[in-house]
Amino acid sequence: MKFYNPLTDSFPESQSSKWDIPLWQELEVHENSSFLPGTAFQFAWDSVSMGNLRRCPRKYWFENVLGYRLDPMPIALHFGIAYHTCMEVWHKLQAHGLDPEIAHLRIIRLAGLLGEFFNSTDTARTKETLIRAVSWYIDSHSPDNAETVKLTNGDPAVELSFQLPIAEVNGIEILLCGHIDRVVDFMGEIYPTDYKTTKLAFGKDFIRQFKPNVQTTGYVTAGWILAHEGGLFPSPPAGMLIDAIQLGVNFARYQRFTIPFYEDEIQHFIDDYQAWVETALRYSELNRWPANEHACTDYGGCPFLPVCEQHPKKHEKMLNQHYVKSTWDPRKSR
Amino acid sequence: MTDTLRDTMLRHAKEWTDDDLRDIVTGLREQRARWNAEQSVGSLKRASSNKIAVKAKPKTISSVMKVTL
Repeated sequence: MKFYNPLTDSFPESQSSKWDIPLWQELEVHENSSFLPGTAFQFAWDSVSMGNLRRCPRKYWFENVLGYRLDPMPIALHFGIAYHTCMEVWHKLQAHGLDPEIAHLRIIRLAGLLGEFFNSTDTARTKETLIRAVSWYIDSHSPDNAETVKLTNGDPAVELSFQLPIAEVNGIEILLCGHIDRVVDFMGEIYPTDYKTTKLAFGKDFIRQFKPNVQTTGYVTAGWILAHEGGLFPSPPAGMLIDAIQLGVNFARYQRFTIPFYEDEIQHFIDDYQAWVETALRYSELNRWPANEHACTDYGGCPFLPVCEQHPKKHEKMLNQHYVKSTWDPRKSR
Repeated sequence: MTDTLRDTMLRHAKEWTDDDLRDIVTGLREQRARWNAEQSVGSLKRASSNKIAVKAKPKTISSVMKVTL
């Protein structure tokens, strides 16, 4: 069983329709189309690669240029991806017109199937907590006061992949890439939204992490560009809407936060983006990706800390023994 | 025999029948109502899934009969 089709409630072995949802991701290793061929210079950037570059160029080198990552992936990331998948399918089933109660049952099965691949001792991120978080979200947001915007082709604006020219470095067009979970009309304003699962209570520290933030600002910037070039966004987004989910062993709690952004902040972000890409070009020309030792223990510790703790001569052996290769390509649509 | 919400959720998701899925949704709604009620009075009491009954299974002979040789 490799796929689940929530429309037909079936378990196809191969993907033949957009409704066949993969239950796990195979490791993919291929030429990275976000880099200039034959170089270590990336011209198409998303928040993951830009975030890594800013946090620690050495981490960026390991993860984004060389393509190493931990296997299995950290449970917080695995759980977040599964939750995103369930929500994406829920909104698409809604837009497709499936009866909401039937759609709810199908999403519960999808959550159960995805949750069976979790491999962790984290009691707040299990098959059961995923099913609960999804089911309670559906119940507590029905009716939903954030309405999914429809694209001009009639599809719901859910999991939108974008690649937009944002700058130019040495005559090379630089692309801003990403995947927006959902675009909504919330209290008369347009917002890109993102789901954020956390074990922390919602407080000032939780909200502060979203501004300044390379992902949220990037999504709002994409919204501004798309609104001004015509098409998807009916008007420039007023900011970012965070659909937050606090996970407990026996409960889930929800809260929405709007993060306002203004036009001059967007231009400031674009200018910074260009400067960072110029820095990446410099690193690639020098073939030197300096470590930022100040970030080694942030967020529970860098996944490559065990490598950097070793003598540089041992780095390659450590990477090959303890990590897997998986290409992270921002230009690849989900 | 009564299944709990946790028992049902622990079974393989591929094997869940439509009745099982409805039981899960109903059980989760009851759990949410209990948790909201506890929260509203400032209680830290948990509403665990293993305390939510989802259905009474029909009794079978083997479940009630003591085997004697």
